[in-house]
Amino acid sequence: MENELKNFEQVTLSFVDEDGYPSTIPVKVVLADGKFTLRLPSGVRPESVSGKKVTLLLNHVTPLPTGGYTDRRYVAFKGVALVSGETLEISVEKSYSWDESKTPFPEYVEVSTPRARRYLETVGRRLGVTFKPSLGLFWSFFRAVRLPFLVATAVPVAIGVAAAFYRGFFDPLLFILTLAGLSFVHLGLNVANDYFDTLLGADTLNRRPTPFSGGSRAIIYGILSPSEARILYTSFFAMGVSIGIYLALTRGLVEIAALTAIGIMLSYFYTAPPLKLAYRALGELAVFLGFGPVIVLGSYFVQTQRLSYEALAASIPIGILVMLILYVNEIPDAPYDKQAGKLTLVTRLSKAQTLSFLAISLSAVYLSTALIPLLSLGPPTVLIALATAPIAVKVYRGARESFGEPYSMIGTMSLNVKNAAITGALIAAGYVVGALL
Amino acid sequence: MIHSRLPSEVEEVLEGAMVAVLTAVNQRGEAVSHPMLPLYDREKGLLYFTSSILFSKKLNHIKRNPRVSVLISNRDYIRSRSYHVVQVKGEARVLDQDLSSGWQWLLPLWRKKEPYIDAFLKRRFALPLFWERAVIEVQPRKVAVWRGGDLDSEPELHVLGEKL
Repeated sequence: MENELKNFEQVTLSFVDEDGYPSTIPVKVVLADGKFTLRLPSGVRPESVSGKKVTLLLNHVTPLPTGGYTDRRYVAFKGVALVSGETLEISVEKSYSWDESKTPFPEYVEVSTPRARRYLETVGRRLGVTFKPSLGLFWSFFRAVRLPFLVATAVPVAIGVAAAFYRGFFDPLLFILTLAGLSFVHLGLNVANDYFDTLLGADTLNRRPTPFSGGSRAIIYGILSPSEARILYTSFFAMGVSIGIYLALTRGLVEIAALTAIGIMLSYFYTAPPLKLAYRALGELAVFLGFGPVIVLGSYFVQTQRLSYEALAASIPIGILVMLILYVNEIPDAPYDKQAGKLTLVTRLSKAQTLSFLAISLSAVYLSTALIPLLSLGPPTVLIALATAPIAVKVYRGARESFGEPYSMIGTMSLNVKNAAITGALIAAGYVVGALL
Repeated sequence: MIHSRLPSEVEEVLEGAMVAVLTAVNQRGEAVSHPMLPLYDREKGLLYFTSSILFSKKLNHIKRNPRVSVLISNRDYIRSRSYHVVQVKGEARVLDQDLSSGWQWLLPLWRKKEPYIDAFLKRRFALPLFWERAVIEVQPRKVAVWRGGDLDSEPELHVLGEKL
């Protein structure tokens, strides 16, 4: 600590003054033999502080030329001040500190969340209202349902419909209905996942969530109450099922009813007891099946009224890609998931094994894409999707370099989502172009 | 010296300060300090802070005991032509009836010190509880000024009258 003192350019002493006000004064401090010796400014007699409980605050910020600060840290020591000649000594009883290089600000915010919720409740009780963080309806919805992740549904639907288009089938209204129905199921999945992960502790224990990991935090932040979350995911599933029933009745009862049922089961039991698939290292398989074969075959069937190996082949790369969104996002969550008993695949693998599985899965995306025309299960134009292989390499390298560092991994997680979206979109485009040529 | 308001050069320091140490008294009667961004309204002669409810301990302290002190020191933290170390003692009140937007009238003062604040505010959805904020309003009563930041010389003492 003696060497560290010079890292704090502002040192202040505070105590309750004789006039009843707290007083805060700048001091010069020396630490020797575990004791702080202070030199007080002129106008403050050491005797006036002696015997009092004091707080010594060591503060540092680096102001940025553009405004604001970086490198924020402080240490506060609490103890009793005693006169020693012309100076004052403090026998420290306790200390607390914050250093943003050790506890980044977002983590500091996260650990302080329960206090904020308590404050909101207290003020709410006083004013007789229920306070919620004020984000407006759109942003509350955006945050609660994790709206941007809908791309993981839109792309496989586009692939299924594009594969049907390649075979000469396309009904825009059915396309919109399919997309809407599956999006509702996906939104239900997201909210149910948050509800059960909060209930079961996986999200609550997570101190370092990011926009890609740690859940939406909507219930934890009080944007949604648990009962509102239950109503929301039930409504989304109900809307998805309603569209599924309509499509089953008009396009093919057995196939669509079966695919809808499988999709709903996988979505709900992804985190819901008793199955809790994500807690048993089955979440990855569930996501692969749900966002790959189930969505692509379903979208294809609605257009063509038949199932085919072509559609199944088209579903493999996107299934793996969406599974990898989940898989990479599980990496920063792993320590907290483990604590909560959510034993995802990543929690069961070593770092080397996790990265190997990532490399194998990414390779499988491009291999399965290349096999589509090679096995005559689609047009050669789908090979355009191989163009994203360099992005996949970057995803792998990023995961390897920032492994386990949630905030450093944000770029890689974002790139991984983009890779899934772009590669999937190129596969869909490959079918469309193949049909037009 | 009894004044109705603070000397102009002291107000300049309060306006230019990027960091202040706000000290309140906790339930055990101990002084507790927090580094914070001070916002000085020269027209009203009042000092303001906004505090996220994430860091609400100080709000509860002030509600129990409104007496606070504010220290502005360290040349690097003050963007003004003149430099003085200033300690303000006064009464504070917590304004938390509208945590969502009740503090936003302070944005013009905040913006002067941290111009990028609007960009953060646009992404409010990223840290929703951080932007639920109470206002701490400090009425200065006693002010000690170490001119030129010279702590070896006696401080000037100013007492502010009711007119302020």
